Amino acid sequence: MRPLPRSLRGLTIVFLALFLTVTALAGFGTFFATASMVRMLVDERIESESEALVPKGTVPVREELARHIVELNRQRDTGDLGVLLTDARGDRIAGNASFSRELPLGYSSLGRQDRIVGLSAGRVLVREVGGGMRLAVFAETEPVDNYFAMRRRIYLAGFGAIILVVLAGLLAFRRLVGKRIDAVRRTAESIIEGDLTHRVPMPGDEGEFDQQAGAFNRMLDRISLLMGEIRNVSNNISHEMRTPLARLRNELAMLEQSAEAEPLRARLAMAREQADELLGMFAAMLRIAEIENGSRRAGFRSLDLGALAAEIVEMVQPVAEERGQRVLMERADAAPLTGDRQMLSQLLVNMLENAVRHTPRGTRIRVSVARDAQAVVLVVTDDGPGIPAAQRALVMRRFGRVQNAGQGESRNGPQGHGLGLPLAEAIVRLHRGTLVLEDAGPGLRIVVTLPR
Amino acid sequence: MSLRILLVEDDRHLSRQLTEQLTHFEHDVAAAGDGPEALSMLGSSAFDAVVLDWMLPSMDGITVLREMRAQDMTMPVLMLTALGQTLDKVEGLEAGADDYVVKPADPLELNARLNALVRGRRTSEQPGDTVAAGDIVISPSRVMAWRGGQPLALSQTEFRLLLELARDAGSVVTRPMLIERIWGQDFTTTTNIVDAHIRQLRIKLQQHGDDPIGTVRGMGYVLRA
Repeated sequence: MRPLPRSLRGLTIVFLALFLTVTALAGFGTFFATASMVRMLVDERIESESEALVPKGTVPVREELARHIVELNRQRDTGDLGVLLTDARGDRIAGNASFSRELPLGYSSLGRQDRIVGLSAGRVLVREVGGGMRLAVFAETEPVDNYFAMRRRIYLAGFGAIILVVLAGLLAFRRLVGKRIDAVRRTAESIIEGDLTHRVPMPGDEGEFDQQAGAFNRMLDRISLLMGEIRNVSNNISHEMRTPLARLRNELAMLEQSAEAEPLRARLAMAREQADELLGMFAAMLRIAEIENGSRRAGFRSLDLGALAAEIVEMVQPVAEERGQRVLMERADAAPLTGDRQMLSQLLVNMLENAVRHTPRGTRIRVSVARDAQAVVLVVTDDGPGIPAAQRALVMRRFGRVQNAGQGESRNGPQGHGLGLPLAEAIVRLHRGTLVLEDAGPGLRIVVTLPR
Repeated sequence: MSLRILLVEDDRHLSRQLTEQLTHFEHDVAAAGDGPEALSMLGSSAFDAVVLDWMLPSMDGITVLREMRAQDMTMPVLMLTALGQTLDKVEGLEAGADDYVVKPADPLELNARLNALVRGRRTSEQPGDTVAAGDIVISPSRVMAWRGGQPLALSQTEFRLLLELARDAGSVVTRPMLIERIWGQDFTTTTNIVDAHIRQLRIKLQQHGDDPIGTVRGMGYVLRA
């Protein structure tokens, strides 16, 4: 069995359907119960009239009964009552009614189609009263029928009003709950984007929503405090280590330049290059931290990503050519958006260098920038060995590295320190976009979608 | 080129190291520990250039810089900034800084930039002028270059690379300086982008003579003057 829907819309629909079904059933139930009650009452009446003419267990004399019937018709107001006494051949003996068809024994319902003279629809009781005679007593249900017609309208109006009220209430409730959930979702989304200052608005009525918003906001306060602490710790470490490391590196660089260092120059250069790699790693970490605190949004300007991509492709092309690879600008729509030019250049450089560094000779790297109504889509595709789906999340993690067999360098530079793609993703997130790794079959495709 | 440099840096350890390193490049370095001291030293003797830390106690670097410019001290100023202060950088350039280096500064980079700054002040280029280095002549306004009278067929990037090297002909231009000047921003690269472009430029230059570009290990490139 399908489980109950969990969405607000699904629940609303299920509830409404249930409500309508039950309301309709209750309506029909009441209607039919009343109808059968009326029939029962009418049946009781014709039975008692019939018994009054011919008490049970007695055998009436034909003439006497006929006289009784005539008397009954004369004495009482029997406008809604019909009586007919017939003999064994079905011929009329006495009575004020006539039926167009032969009636079965016992109770039955007659309608207008039965064309009872002078009467309309109703119930009839036919009894054998001895001597082959049959006594039929008929009572009209017309007043009750008229009442039923009215009743249908009353029901429709009454249940209609109830349904309208419930429907309106339900929609209002759904809107209210939906709005609150939306407020929480929007807050969560802006926090995902890195804006930890966002809070859920509080209605201020101290109700459940208010309490929930309050608890949610206190949780966010706590998270941002903890995050701030963690960030500070790692930033402080990066900062603190960077300075002495830079001194060491600079010392090596100076040594490398001195004349006495000639016999050791190559090894000094190697040591200096290693220090450079470490410094690059710290720089990338601090840069990610800088991006994540969101302050760079202040420097956003409008720019054309298509033109910028073409520029960076031209910049990287000679490096690729030296490695026997080709970089092609496949499509460069004019793609205006608001962003940080330096950061977006760094993003393009990281994406292209990542492709150049981690694919073999002969690889084709294609770049395209396309624009639609809402977004600018930047795609870098290579036909190299790609990254297995299971390892794609790993390269997006800081210091996450994938070893490509036969290609010394790990998949996400700079210098394979595992921060190239995380930095790229931080830049994309700063611009409220998304970065997705896909299989290009063969090769890797990086799809960056940036809102315009 | 020996320069007289004022270093304004409050971190004594760093100050001592930078002084030592700049002295190694035969510069004459005087150190000031804060803004007021720097301003008084600038008032009493002449300097070719100032290396100014952004973060200083009591009076920050940008205030010192504004004060200097207000007092008509026009010598080039190179600011030292902490990493991640890109927006401050714009403010610094607007306040009249000539260049900036992210701390902790690479002495070779610092030296190359100081030389370029002072040289740039000495040879002020007029629009429409040509730039010459050895047998190479470049016309920035016409976007054309010749070697020994022969026109060179350069891509836009190669042209700008040659122009930047020629403007500082005879002294070292570092890779970060080239990236900044040619692509207009400082980003980190993990491949030898500048080297690859230089190689292409060299091939085109060598069609009309020997290789005029020298590689200085650990530093950058120098075009023969």
